[in-house]
Amino acid sequence: MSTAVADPPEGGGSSPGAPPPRRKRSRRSFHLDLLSLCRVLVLGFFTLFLIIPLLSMVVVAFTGETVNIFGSLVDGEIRDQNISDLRGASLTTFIETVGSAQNMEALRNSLLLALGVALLAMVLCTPIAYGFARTAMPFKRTLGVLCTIPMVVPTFAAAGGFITMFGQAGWVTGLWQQLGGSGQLINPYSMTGLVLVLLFFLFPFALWPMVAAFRISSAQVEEASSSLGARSVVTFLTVTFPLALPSLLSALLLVFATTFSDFGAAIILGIDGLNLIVVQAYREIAGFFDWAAGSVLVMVMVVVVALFFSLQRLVLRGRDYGTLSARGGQPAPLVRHRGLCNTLSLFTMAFTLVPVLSLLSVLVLSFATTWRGTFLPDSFTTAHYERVLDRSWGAIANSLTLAGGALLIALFVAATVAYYTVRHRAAGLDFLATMPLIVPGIALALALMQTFNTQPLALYGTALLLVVGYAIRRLPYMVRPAVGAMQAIGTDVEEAARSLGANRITAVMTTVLPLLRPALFAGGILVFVTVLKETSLTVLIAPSNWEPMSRDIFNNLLRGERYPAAAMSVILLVIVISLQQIAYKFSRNSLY
Amino acid sequence: MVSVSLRNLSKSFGSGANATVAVDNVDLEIEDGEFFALLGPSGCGKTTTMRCIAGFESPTRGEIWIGDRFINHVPPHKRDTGMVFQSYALFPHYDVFQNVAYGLLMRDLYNGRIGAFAGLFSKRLARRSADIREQVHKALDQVGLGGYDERQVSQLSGGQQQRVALARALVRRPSVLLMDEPLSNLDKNLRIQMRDTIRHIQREVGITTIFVTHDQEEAMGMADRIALMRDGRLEQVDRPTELYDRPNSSWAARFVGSSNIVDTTVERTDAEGTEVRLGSRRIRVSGFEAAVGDQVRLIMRPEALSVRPRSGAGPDTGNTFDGTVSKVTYLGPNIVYTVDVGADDGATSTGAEGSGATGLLTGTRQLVEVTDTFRGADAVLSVGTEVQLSIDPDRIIVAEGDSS
Repeated sequence: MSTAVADPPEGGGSSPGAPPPRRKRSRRSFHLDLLSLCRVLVLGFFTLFLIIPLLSMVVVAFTGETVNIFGSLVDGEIRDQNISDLRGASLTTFIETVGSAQNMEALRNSLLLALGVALLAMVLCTPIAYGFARTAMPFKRTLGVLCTIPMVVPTFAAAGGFITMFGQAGWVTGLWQQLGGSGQLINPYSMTGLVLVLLFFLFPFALWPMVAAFRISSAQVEEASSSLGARSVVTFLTVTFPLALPSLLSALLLVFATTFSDFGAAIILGIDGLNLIVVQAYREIAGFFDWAAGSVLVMVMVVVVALFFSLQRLVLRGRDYGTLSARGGQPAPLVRHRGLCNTLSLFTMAFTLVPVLSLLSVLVLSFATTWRGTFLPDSFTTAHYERVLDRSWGAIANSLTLAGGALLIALFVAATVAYYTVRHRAAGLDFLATMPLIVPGIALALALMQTFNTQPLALYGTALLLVVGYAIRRLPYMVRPAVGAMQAIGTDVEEAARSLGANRITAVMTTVLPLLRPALFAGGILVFVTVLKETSLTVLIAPSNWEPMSRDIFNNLLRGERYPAAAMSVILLVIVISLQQIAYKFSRNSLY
Repeated sequence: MVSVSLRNLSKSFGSGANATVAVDNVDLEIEDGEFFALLGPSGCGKTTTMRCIAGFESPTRGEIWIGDRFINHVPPHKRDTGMVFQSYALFPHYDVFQNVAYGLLMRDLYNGRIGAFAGLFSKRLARRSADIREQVHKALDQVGLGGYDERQVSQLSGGQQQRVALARALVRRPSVLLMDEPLSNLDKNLRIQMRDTIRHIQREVGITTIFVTHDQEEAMGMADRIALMRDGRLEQVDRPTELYDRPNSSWAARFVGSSNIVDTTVERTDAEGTEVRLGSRRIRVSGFEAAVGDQVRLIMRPEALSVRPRSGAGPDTGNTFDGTVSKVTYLGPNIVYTVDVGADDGATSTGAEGSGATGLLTGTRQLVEVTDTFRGADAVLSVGTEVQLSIDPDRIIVAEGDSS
């Protein structure tokens, strides 16, 4: 083997012991490799599409005037205008907007709605979660599927299903009147209706964390309790339940935040009569184009959601009993008490009946010729599907293209964020990528619209802005699993590649990325699926030549065209559910 | 082939007041073709030193040379080193062939063969080049894994994974092979077997090898030379036999093998050597110059001492002292006697100024371990036996390194 020939800048030629060439170090600091470039790109992406828009939103809320930060950078006149606006900043707009009686009431209603749904979900899901986690209740598998599906249904479609059942022409209403009831059993366009829709379709967000919480209590701990003389009910109340409590509270806060910022169902059911903060904000933006008032309202929403997310973190901090009981060995044996199991199973079935029936109603409606107030439609037809596929085929293609674009951006950003977060402790990147969690869709939509509707970066009205918005909003779904997977990949694999002659980017591409692939894949499907059902961004910033499925359904629902909305909803649900199944299959098989 | 030199190499982590020095002013010349061990307890800086050579850490001060190449600022992939990691760091998404071929594909890639890039992502394309196939198979044969190239690495045992890691590092024919505790994840029998395999391959290839270990037996059994490290500094650099026989310090003596450390005082010097107080006797130490009254620390290996009952003792051979057996540990082929020689503990007692009797009278127990070969159950001495110990003056080591 011969000594490798050193190239001159690396100090070859000089004899051992000679001082190293000085210039080498200074050159290195200017050296920008592809990997660092990725980081710079991602940071730029967040600055451009998240930080500056949110900042503009805050400025608008306090000055009452639109602001053009990008314009300020290139045009002195715009800059002067913006600066004089800033000088006039005051709390006036803020106080006027928040202080108006109507908005105060809207905020109160929204908080009550979220609180009601969260509390109901917690109370009703506790027995169900216990059933799943700790008992051998019959039909567990089927019930498990039934308790997962509502999660993937966009809330506007859920609202549609509810209208089909309980609306003026709904079959439940018809049944109710035949049985001698008067009017409607439940008016979907009311607070009660909205609470029920959100409860029955958002409850899985509470249920599954609760199931996990009930599973952590180990057999030994409970046996210890019963050997100390506690009866099983007492054991549940003094050991099992307190152990699960932090996770239950965290689930409650999550449902609260999700309900509070829900857009789809709130607009469909509330646009005419309900006074909610999200409805008010939507009116200000889409109806009156009042940026200032809109900004104030969505800022309040951001603050509320942020508050509840930090509360959730606080509840979970230091209460992670999972690690404690993991050492406890075997999971507790399932409770097999016949009466208890059957009761829990029946209760769960009864609970899932509502979402199942409303989804079935949507399915039936999509095949119905006319269906008004009777138990079943007059007759069946596939005409709606033909019309939808004929007229709105483009919407399906648009949805898939837009979601694909968002997926690509999210993949790149998530992989870069995960790499730098874990390898270089870039906590800032991680924070930026998690921040969208606390920004409700309507807030992000407003921020992006407001920032990009003028020169020099007039992206509003282009598909690009929509895709970017989608990517940012759903990024956390991908970043969390990617960071987790990245933490499991040791530095040594990458170093091995380096010592075998790979430069940094090649080493990362050939060793880190393939190992990250399962996590990125699973996260990617989640991003894709949630983008397909994304409502607020779609409704507010989708350009008319890029209408996706969700807006098609949404508009049809608002116009009262129930049949094509139902047909399109079914198509959307079929795509979403099958993709999720694929993701589930793959994520189990692709672990090394 | 090439040598490796480290000049005043220092590496500290953190900065300012919180900086911790991992490697402190290490100066080493590792010769061409040498099998060199960096030995020391955990946290002594041996791994950091190796990572500096591999290029995964950049030194705070000092220079690293491989042959006549100054490599401080050369990125790891251009250093021409092969590394075997403690965890093996095999690529779990590649099969054995692709793992070994990785380095060759990289070389092809940098030589402008873009096709090699595809080989990094496809099993089939990785095997396309006849040259790569031949080299990979040769490397796998060399480590005794011929025919394993289709296996997934997760299907291999620990020892086999170790061999793949070795083949992967060697296939590029690097100038220097670096091994970071490569045997620590194997069970005992496999470890001894792998020692031979590694040593055998290293001799065959003749590659300069640097080997990091905390296991002194491993270092003694494999290395041509050993650098013993402590707290980031070099304690001693020597051949294994020298390191064992002539440790510079009591710390080195204790780290490499077991030893009796005795603090005592010089009582007489003459042309033939020096005599020091030990128990009730004076014993002679050779190859050492000192003045009467000097405090010295002696190191005596347990097997350098011989023991026999005082009752049946023959003529005094000169360098002897007395004691009483206080413990007997039977180890199969060997017996370790713990003998109380009742000497003064020079380090703590006050009777250190020449009058050894004082030390004896203070009654301090001074225990010395003696290793004796097992010669049948009858020959085993029992606790309480009065014994006479003797030692060759040449085999008493004076721990000069401790004086500083």
